[in-house]
Amino acid sequence: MQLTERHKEYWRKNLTITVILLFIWFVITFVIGYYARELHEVTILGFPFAFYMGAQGSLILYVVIIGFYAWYMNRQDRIYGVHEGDEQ
Amino acid sequence: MSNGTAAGFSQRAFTQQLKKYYAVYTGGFIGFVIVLAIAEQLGMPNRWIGYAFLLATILLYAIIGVMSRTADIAEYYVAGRRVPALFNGMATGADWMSAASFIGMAGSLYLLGYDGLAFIMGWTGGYCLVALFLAPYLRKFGQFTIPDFLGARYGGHIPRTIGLLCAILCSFTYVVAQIYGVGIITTRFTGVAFEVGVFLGLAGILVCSFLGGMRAVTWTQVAQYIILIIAYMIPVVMLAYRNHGVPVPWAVYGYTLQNVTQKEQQLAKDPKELEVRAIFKKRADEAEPSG
Repeated sequence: MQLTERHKEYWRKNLTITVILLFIWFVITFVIGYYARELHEVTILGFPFAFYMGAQGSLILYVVIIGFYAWYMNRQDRIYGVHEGDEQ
Repeated sequence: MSNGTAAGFSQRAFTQQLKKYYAVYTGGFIGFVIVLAIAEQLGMPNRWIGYAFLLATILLYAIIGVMSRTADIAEYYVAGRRVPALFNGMATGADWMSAASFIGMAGSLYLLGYDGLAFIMGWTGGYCLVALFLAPYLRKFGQFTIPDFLGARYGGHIPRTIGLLCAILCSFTYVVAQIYGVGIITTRFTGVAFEVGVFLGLAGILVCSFLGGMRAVTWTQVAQYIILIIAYMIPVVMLAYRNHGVPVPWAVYGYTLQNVTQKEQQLAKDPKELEVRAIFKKRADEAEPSG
């Protein structure tokens, strides 16, 4: 299959969103973990902040990342006409 | 799901039918719990309630497993690629809430504290990497496994073998905890020795998943998810309501942890506790040379 300009544009958008989401993922996973001691004074719902992020916050954000990526790419798939079947 | 192979079955009708099946199933499960509650009021011993619950759920998974048996390769490896996202999410959720997380995680967190959360973040954050790097491409690629994909993408057997080794290594550490859980449950259920229980449980898993592959696994996992989520939530919601008057455990368990920390510090200074610790230390010291 010959790659058209539109295909390349689709791929660029895919790469951009992947990099952005991966950056957010990296910050909530490693940066907050690295500064856990410094963030200890901040409490949220009775937890120290870093502990809260580990127990709930980061998990919620992970789900948001995956959900957003799926929603965004489904939309792009439809816009660029590369979606599959009658799948919702 | 039993007649799922029928060709020309549209995805929408399939999803509708799935929703119907699992709604009936959830109703049946709640009914079953109510029947057990009535039986308890009528004086059924706790032991038998436990057996009835275990037997009914295992039987149910076995039935789904046998009903989903298939010889079709796409059905076997990827459940025909038409599991609706919500149901696939439920199946994955049931995987997450496995024996490893239920038994292993509680212990690890108790032992390690904040460091133990690395496991929680690891096996949830890992899904992000799967979603961003692997899942969409694996699906579009149309093959079945990650080593397949690596082999085709990078060529040759070396990337394939590396993928295979990684998969085995990850699965192995996970399966050890899982099988330990299976052994405990089978031992409790049948009263056989733990070593025998492990193999009995494994035989059951083999029969269920060997016949139906991913198809059987996905549909039993969805069924398990419904039971698991109800069984996980009821006790913590009740505890949260009792201790804080709010039936939302996620919002209040931070305060409970603070209380526990305070109590722990009090306990560490308690003279009786110090006495007990001294006794245990003495015993440990005495046991040292011989052990």
